Amino acid sequence: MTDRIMVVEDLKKTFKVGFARKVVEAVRGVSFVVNQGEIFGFLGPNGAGKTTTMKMLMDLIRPSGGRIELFGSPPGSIEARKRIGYLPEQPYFYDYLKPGELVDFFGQLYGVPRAVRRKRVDELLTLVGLDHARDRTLRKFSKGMLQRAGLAQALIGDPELVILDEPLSGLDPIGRKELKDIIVALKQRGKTVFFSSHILADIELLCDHLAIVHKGLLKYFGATSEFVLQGQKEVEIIASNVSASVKATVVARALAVEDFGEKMKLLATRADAAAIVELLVKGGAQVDVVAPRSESLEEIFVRTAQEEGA
Amino acid sequence: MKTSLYRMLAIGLNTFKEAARNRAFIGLMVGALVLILASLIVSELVVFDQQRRVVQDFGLFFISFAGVVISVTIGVLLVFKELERKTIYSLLSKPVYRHEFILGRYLGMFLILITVTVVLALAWGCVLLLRDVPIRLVFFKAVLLVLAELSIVAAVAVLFSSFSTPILSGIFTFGIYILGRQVLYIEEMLLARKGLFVSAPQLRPMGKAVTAIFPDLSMFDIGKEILLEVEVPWLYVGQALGYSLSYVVILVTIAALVFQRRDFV
Repeated sequence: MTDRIMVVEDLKKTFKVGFARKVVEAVRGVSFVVNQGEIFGFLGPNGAGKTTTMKMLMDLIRPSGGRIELFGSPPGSIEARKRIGYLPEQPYFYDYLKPGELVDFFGQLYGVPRAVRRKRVDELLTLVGLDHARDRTLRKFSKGMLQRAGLAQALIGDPELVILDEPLSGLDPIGRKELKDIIVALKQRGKTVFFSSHILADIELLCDHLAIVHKGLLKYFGATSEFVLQGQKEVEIIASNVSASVKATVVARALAVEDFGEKMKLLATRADAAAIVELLVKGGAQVDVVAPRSESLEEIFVRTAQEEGA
Repeated sequence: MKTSLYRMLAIGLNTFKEAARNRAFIGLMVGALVLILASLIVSELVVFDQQRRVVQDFGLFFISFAGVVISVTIGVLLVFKELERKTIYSLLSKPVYRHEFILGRYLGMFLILITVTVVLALAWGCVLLLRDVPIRLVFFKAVLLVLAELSIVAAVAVLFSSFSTPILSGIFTFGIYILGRQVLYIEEMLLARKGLFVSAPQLRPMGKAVTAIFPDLSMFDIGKEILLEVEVPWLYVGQALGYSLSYVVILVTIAALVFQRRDFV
């Protein structure tokens, strides 16, 4: 049985904003579970409630309702937080420190012994590619470099669970590739990674499970593979030498048709696809391609986010 | 308990490092040093028997003045800057209790104040020696009491910093410092048979509230005793330190309680 290291149940957060104390529901009953050793993606457009949820996980914001359990403890528990590394969105750090000093400082808060700390700081700065910038203070760092320093400080306590809020933002393509490699390496070492991202292709490739939130509501929670399958509802058929009579028959059953003269492309439901192919073959047409048409994760995400109730 | 102290010490040392690398802080320190050393020049302008008095008065005044300016300017930013710069997210997501953060920040502030008073007191000591003023034990007591006073001012600044903006916190803290310096006079006015509280008795409750709530900071000023060469007993110093500690504990506890309830949006 897999260990559930993060349990979020019916999580809610309301804020009172402005002079009139208008109530804003930032998170409206979000529930999901994260298992040990997996990479979990947390998706949602801007203002969906992702960062608010992640801050509640870190006890930076107190929930208005619901329950959070991290390693069987509430999020404010010191014991739980010793096992977690967190990278906030757009990390801001003490800009008068050098990266090594920053990571060392946070290592002290984790209670990492000095000798271990020294060794780990060196390893982490190398891992995140900041070897060349050891002698610079953070105020001279670019956004991408700060993100790398942020990742190093999140890992100094050798955490079992790494929570990363938009870790890929601000990184160049090489940086994103390196970060993805680090995330995969963490998983291979038995760590659990929970991260939010707008870059959906990364989620599809990296994550075992994902949760999608939109306007504070959970729109999907489950395996990434199942989510992608949801988009495979249609079949694309490309045929050539289709006679006019057959064309008229198949067009009536297809969802969409693109006629290029000699060739035609049909989009059909999975249920109708076989019958259309049969009609084409019987009518003497040549069937060139029959392929399930997958919506990209991005298309599914936009559709799911906009579905009723959004 | 030990690990908690260790975490607070780490936060305190980081706070100290922040100040030590801050140009404004270094500028203030240099300015205060220059002013203390300038008392040598000022003392040249007065008649010989007043020269000792000038260097004694000026030195102690500038240690206290620079300390108050540093307490207010750094103290009001102590918590606010963490929120403004969002560094609080990284820090409080670590295995740190919120009260440890406030206590650690205050501890760092206290380390800064010790450094300020020690450095400025050494400069004052040099000036005294250059003017052939013998270093007496009461000078150490005076510096110790200045540090105790600054500890209260810094605690007030930290309290306001935990929920208010730096400008408002600065105004409130400086206002409390000014009022604190007047508490003794207000007490005397309340006991007097004539004066403000007799001509306007409706102000008496306000006067009593001020003396009951605000710290009596004049307790920490023994400049007059130094001048008159009156002995200041250790018992008095001990009581003043205890008084200061009580206020610091109350103020920092309130700051921690306020901070405990906050959402860091």
